[in-house]
Amino acid sequence: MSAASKTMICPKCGATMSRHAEKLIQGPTPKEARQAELGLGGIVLEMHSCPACGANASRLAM
Amino acid sequence: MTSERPLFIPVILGTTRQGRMSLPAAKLVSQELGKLGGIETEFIDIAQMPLPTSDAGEAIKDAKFAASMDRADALIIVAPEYNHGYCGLLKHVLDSCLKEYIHKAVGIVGVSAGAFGGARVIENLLPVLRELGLVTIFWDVNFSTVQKVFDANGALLDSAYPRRIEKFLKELIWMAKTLRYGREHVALD
Repeated sequence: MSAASKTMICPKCGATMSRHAEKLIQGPTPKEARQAELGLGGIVLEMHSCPACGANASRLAM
Repeated sequence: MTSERPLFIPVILGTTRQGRMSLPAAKLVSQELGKLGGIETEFIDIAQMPLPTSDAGEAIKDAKFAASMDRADALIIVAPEYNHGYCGLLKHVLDSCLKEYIHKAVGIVGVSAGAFGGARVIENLLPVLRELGLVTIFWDVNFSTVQKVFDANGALLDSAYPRRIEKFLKELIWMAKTLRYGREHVALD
């Protein structure tokens, strides 16, 4: 299983979250730039939402 | 596709100018939204927010605003047209968040003293909102010659507006429900 396909657990209620988006963040900070995917021109965040309580979370896509 | 959780749709008044006629317009939209069932709302006046100019973007994120954006299912932005554009401080505020907006609906209310009802500010906001990850709807509300729409006390003089706002809100709510379902149940892959 790739890192990107790992599920995220809701930090509020413990349910399995839905990974619904990947967002390219352009113009990252110097720290983020070191993690950037050169081919895409920025860092990619994956967005997760909880079907049980509606909480949102994000993490760096790998 | 039902949800027991009410939708949360804040209204953002996007100007800090003194004597702004966008205030009664935003209040009217907020009032009409508040009449609907299953909706919770909040009136966010950017003139009341701390807006440091020593930095920009997520570096100036305001915790209260970010929490509202995170909780939101949709946004309503009330934007007056200044020199064909939006208020710079509105952009400053919007840029302070990003992940909080992804796959959420947004509707724009344009306000102008002239005849076009903020049509140009709406067009100028669209690419910004798209890049922020928001999903724009195809209904707008246009307050043309706004100084004639409200009296000096902010009372509505033109009875056509509530019906226009109702159409706009119906579409926004449909999009908010659909995107909430998508965020929570439709995985990217």
